[in-house]
Amino acid sequence: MSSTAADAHDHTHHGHEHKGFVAWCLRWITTTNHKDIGTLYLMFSLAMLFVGGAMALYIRAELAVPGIQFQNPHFFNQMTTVHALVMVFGMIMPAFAGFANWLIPLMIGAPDMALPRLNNWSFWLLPFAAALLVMTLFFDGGGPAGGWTLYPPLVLQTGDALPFVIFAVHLLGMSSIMAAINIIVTIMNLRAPGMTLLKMPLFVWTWLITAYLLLLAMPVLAGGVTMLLTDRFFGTSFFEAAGGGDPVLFQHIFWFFGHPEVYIIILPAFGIISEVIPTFARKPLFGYASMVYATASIAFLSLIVWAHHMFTVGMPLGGQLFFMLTTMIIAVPTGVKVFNWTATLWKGSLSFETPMLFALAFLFLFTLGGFSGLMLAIVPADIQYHDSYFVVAHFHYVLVPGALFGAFAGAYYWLPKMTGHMYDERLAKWHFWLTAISVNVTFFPQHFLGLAGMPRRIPDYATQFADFNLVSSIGAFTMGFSQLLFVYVIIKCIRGGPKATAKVWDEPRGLEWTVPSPAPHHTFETPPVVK
Amino acid sequence: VNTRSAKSVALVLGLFALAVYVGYIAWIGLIL
Repeated sequence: MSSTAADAHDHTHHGHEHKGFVAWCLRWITTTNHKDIGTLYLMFSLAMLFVGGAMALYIRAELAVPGIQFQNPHFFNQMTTVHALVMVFGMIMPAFAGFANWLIPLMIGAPDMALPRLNNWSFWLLPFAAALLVMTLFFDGGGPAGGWTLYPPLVLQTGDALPFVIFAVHLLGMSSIMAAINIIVTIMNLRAPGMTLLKMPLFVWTWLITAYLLLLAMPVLAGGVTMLLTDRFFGTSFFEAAGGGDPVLFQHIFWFFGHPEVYIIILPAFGIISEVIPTFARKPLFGYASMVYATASIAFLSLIVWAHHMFTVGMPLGGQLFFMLTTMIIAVPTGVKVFNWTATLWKGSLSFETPMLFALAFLFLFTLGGFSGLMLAIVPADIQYHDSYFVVAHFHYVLVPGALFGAFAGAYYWLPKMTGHMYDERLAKWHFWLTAISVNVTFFPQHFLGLAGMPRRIPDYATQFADFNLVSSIGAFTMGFSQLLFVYVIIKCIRGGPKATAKVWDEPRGLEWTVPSPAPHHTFETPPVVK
Repeated sequence: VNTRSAKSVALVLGLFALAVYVGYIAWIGLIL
């Protein structure tokens, strides 16, 4: 650690001494400081929110009224595919990786991440992988159009883009695996004296468990897409029935990664909510230990439920029952969490600053997304809902007012610690209300569309679906443009504003509030002693 | 802080990820 921390120190000072654009670029390219890399992750994620968001608006513009509005259906399919890949791998995962980088060392009293150079590499793989992925849209034959699940044989019909998409997925996976290794090693080896595992903030716990999930799930995705590559270019037939393979096998492999991935996205959001609610309820988190065990149970269960995504492939009754029941059991530890958050609010001295508003919206709306998930878990019902807009409504409820609201809550909660200034509370509240209302206008009608029989991933639809689609599109455009306000609030907060104190809020808990705001470039070079 | 121990843990975790990647493809290759 000593040599790597010293290197990080040198780089920073090198950057400060030289003026000019090249030196500024070099400072960010070569940085090994966890706060710098955290900032890079967060900025990259914000940029990707707009790239993926633009694709979402293209989709909603096409679907606003019946008929084909733009281009051709093949391009629409590319948009749905790349929107999902960008949002999952380019936006929401890097957002939480950014918070992990910024906060885990601060929360456990460590001077930096355990492996700062690996940390730099983990980040810098991302922009190239994301650029490669988006560039495939301009290739001969277009980008991938078979959905983010990349199911064969459909995905094997992709034009020249296929090997590049697979390479991009490999790079994104490598980046995630290296970040996960770094997080595990940092938490296991760099905790300050007295910071026992069961004294760690919930955000650190959720990330530790998430990192193990990443380590188990990402190599499986890498294996799956490597087999796609060899099927297409090297004459193997892993997924080709004609050669003795099985296309359904890919679905098993993909969802063995894909379902833990859902929890990889949501667990860090759980961690953020578990930090925000106690601060604004001015009470310690209710049931800390049960929160840790619930998180670990959710992570374990997430590894044995994957085939609930594929009830319609025709699996044996025993398989259907197993995957239905294990899926429903996830509601138990999730219920423990929702109960604990609610119990933390009970008789608390509540105040409603923007992080708390996002946390409360998360509590209501994520639970709503969870309930539609339970509906989908019921096999006979799922056979009706499968591949309909009901599924689109369900997963957007858990990902947008779930995971993304978790990230927004975290952004407003720690922004004063990162920038040293308080953000504009009035504008932030506008951002919250515009987003919270429009997210429901966008996604709630999609439940009705799905139940009425509208399939997902289609650019045109029968006229009876017109009204709800128009409402959904109006909501989507409102939500999209509201995010410009978020960018404005962040820029305004970076440039100035009322000075933030070290504690920022009334009763925050955790070591990050013991250092000044903005947090100095180097913190806890001498480990704090935790009692 | 013990750097050597941090790097060993990282190496073990990295090798585990690699083993899952290679092992999964090999296992599926064998059962097909």
